[in-house]
Amino acid sequence: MSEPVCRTERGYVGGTDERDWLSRHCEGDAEAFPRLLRRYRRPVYSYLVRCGLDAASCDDLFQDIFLKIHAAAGSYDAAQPLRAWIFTIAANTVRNHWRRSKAGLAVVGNEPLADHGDPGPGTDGIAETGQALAWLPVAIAGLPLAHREVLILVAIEGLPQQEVATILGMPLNSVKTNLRRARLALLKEQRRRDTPVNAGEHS
Amino acid sequence: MSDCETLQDRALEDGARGVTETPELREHLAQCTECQRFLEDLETLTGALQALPLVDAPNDLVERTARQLRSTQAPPVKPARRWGRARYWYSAAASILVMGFAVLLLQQPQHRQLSTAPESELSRVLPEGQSVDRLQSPEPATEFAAREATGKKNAELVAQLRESERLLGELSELPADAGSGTVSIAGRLLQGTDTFEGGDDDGLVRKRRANRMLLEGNEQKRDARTAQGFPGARALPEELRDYEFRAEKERTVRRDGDRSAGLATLPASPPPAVDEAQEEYRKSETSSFSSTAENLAPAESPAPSKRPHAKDNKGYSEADQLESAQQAAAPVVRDLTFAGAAGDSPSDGSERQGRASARAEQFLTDLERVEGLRFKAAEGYWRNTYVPGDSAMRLLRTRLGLWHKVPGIGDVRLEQAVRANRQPLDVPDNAAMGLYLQADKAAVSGVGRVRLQVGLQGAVRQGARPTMNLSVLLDLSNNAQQPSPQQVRAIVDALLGAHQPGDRFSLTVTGADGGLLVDAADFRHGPLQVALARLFSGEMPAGAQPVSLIDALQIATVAARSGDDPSAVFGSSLVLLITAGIDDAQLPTLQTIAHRNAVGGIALSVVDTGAGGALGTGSPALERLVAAGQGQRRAMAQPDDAARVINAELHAASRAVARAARLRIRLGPGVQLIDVLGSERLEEPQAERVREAERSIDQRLARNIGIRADRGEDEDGIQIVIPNFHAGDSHVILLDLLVDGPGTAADVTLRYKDLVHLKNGVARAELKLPGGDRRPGPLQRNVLKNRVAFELAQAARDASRLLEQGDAPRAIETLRAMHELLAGLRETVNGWSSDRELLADARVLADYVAYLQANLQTHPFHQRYLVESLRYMAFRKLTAANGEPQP
Repeated sequence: MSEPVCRTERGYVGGTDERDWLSRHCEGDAEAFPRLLRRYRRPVYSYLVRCGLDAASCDDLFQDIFLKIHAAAGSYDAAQPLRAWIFTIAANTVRNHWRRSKAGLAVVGNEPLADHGDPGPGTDGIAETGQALAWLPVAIAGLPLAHREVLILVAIEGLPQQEVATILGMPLNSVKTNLRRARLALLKEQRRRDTPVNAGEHS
Repeated sequence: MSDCETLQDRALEDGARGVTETPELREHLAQCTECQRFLEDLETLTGALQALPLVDAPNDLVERTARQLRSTQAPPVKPARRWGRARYWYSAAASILVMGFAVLLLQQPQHRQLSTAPESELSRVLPEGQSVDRLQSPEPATEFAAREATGKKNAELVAQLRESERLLGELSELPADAGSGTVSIAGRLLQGTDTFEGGDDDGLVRKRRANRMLLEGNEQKRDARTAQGFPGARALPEELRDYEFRAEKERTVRRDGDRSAGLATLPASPPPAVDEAQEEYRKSETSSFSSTAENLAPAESPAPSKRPHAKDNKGYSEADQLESAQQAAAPVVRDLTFAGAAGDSPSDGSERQGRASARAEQFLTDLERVEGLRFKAAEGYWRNTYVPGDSAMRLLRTRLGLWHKVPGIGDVRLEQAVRANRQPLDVPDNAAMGLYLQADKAAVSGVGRVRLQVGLQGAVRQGARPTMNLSVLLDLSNNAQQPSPQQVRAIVDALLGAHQPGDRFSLTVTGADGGLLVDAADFRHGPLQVALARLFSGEMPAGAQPVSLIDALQIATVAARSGDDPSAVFGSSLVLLITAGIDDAQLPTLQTIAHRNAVGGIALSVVDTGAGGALGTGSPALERLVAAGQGQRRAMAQPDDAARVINAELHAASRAVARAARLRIRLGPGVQLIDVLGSERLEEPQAERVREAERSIDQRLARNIGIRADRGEDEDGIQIVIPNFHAGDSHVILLDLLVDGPGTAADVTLRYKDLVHLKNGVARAELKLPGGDRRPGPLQRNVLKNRVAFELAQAARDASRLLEQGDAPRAIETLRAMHELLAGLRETVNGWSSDRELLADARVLADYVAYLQANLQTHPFHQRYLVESLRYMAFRKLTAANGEPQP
């Protein structure tokens, strides 16, 4: 069954069609949830990877998150941005995972990407990023969880800080503080790597 | 904290833009190599983070996930009535609890010291030995009366009564014989007496608040039980419980923050004539409450009626006060069930529910009516309905702030509980504005009515205010009314305090020895103090010619032009007129100058220091002047307001993310326009002014910041020009259409000057409606909900008018009918039974009805308050949250 088509010109802002997907899913539209899955598979999986989870946990939590989205589809309020709603589920799922498992961080970045199963097209980009940035995912995964969450959502996913505050359940000032600390930590690491070794030694 | 630390912290939080948009940080950056290197490193890191590619899930994982979903239970289908029977149990429980609570409040005799006044304030006026205790320790009325009857004095009580009488008198809303009645009312309110049957207004107000608290607590408990899987309720996954609570908390925090809006005290000045201003409100008032020049007709207001000042009253004795405190108020019929249960009561439910359902059905049927329609041409310029910081709204808010100082009204703040609906509009990432189209139908079959919604969303922009070129014009030309020395000094101090590097402020005055008093180079403490001392010394230099306001405005304009920086942000050059009122005879010339200046890029704003400014009624002449000058009008009731007013004006320029936003709406073939809700087509002279203003912005921005001028001829279709769009704001425009079948409903183009990305922004959207009978989804229902919001705003305005005409019963009936409509719609429309915004609206209406019933018969000043409160409530319902008018 067709739906109202709101077309916008490419490159311009417009369209809130994704907010309708869950409602249509609840009404039995077989195409609605696959559409949502296609749209959010990369952002959600990227979030899991950048949170420092090992491959198996990423896979498990990925399924978990989308099953929860499915189960809670009826409670989604279209007045809220879908992206924030999904990332709330994702962020809380990761937090719960850490709490339950007390697992250590898996260092991501230098691991062979084959450990994640068949790499999707996006994962090739990591290999192409090169040595210059290879340290970055490792460093991100090494940040404290609170700093890491904020950094991923604001600086990588590009979500507005206020939206991130709602997602993570913290005041805006805390978002700013955590972001500041995360960036500062990465800056220090960046500078350390840029500084030549034995710079102060005399020949 | 050092400058380097400040800059680096800001950069770490907000990125490079957070630094470059702050003048003092920009200045430091230009001189500090370490910070420059820091910023470069940060930008490298930022780029690296943004370049990190997305990590895609393995295909087999995605396939497994999809398979698992397909094999699980069918997606949860949302029932039309989510709560079902459980909801009635909750409602019944809530009603029982409310009734029980009311019984607890009832003490025969009453005289429980309940109050919502601040504790410190109330404790000063309570009889000795009586503590402020919100729900305990009843004191029998007989004992209280006996104690007072012995003549025990309470000097503070008397002082409070006198103060309240003065306030009431200053508001000039009282009939000639209001004195003793006023005192009696104030006395009863301050003493916290309350009854239920035949009760006192203040007590009922407190009970209402208590009821609301109880219901809110019940709702929170209900949500908690929901999360725990209480039968009959929706099950929220654990991950979402926090989300919903946090979002609600955020709304609560915003609401409570608004409740603490500052209040202005009244100067001891004669009461102004309010009828003229109110007449202007009526004339300028439209469905969307814009107060642009197009809407202000020349005033033909009646001669102001003289209201006796409180001081004219012959006074009162303390015995009068105390005796009147014992008087029983007029019997008040209060529908506890109606107000307390906010439409959810099942107790007399079937009849009420039947009425509510019938109303809802009728409303929805009317929305679908296709016979007897009248159509409008879908072309030409239509009035802009997005007016951030509407002057009339600001003035109303200031006035309501004064009402809130009156005992008995103070803590009610009914209008503050209203919120505009949140709109499902995503904040644009790569543009200053987003454009969204929706309809209230998911599909059509044949001829039918459709509401088309054009949604606009502004980007969230974090920036400091731009460097300002401010030419302050102090109007001392009218001996009868002019800013006081205290007000002038407060404004000057506020300007000095707000001055940032790069700002250019100058001071021009009218009157004797007028002209440019202090130019931008000398705008600092010393020269200003010398100039002001001379100004207020009363000494007139020999041969000095008084400078008229018109001449002074020309001088101030020259000062502003000389400091105009072509590279500065548009809107940062301004003439700020400080005046207590202007002569109507000068208005046409002043308007011409102001309009010419505005077209040339120098706006005119006004700070009204007069009695009208204090009371928020204001002068219509000043209103028209700011409209011509494309500026803002701000009320300054007392010197303490100076800093707030000045800061608001200085920051106004930085709030806009887009200017000259032009909407062009073309309807599809076979689609006819019934109405653009809240708007009307402009007459040609008005349209010409809109075009002229648009062209001036277009050309100015082309000169200043290189945004290519792209405004040319008129376009076909409905054209709406929005001069400024503020950061974070959302706005919807509803069109009522008749379509003849499936197909294109409309295509919309939005052109604007993008101040965030410094480019011409364009957005286009087209909405096609398919054939069929598909049920509306949440986005379609959101359009319907916005249509209901218009209905609610109209009901509030109608009730306000009826009240003003003295027809309280019809005003109450209007609000009750709207309340019933909401109740019926919540039952009828899928997904609305637990809609918090509709529930909140219903509560507000119930509160208004209860307040009207409780206070109207005997307290005229409550009526005056409610007239304005309802009007403001109507504003507020249709104004985007971020578009709240600044003081």
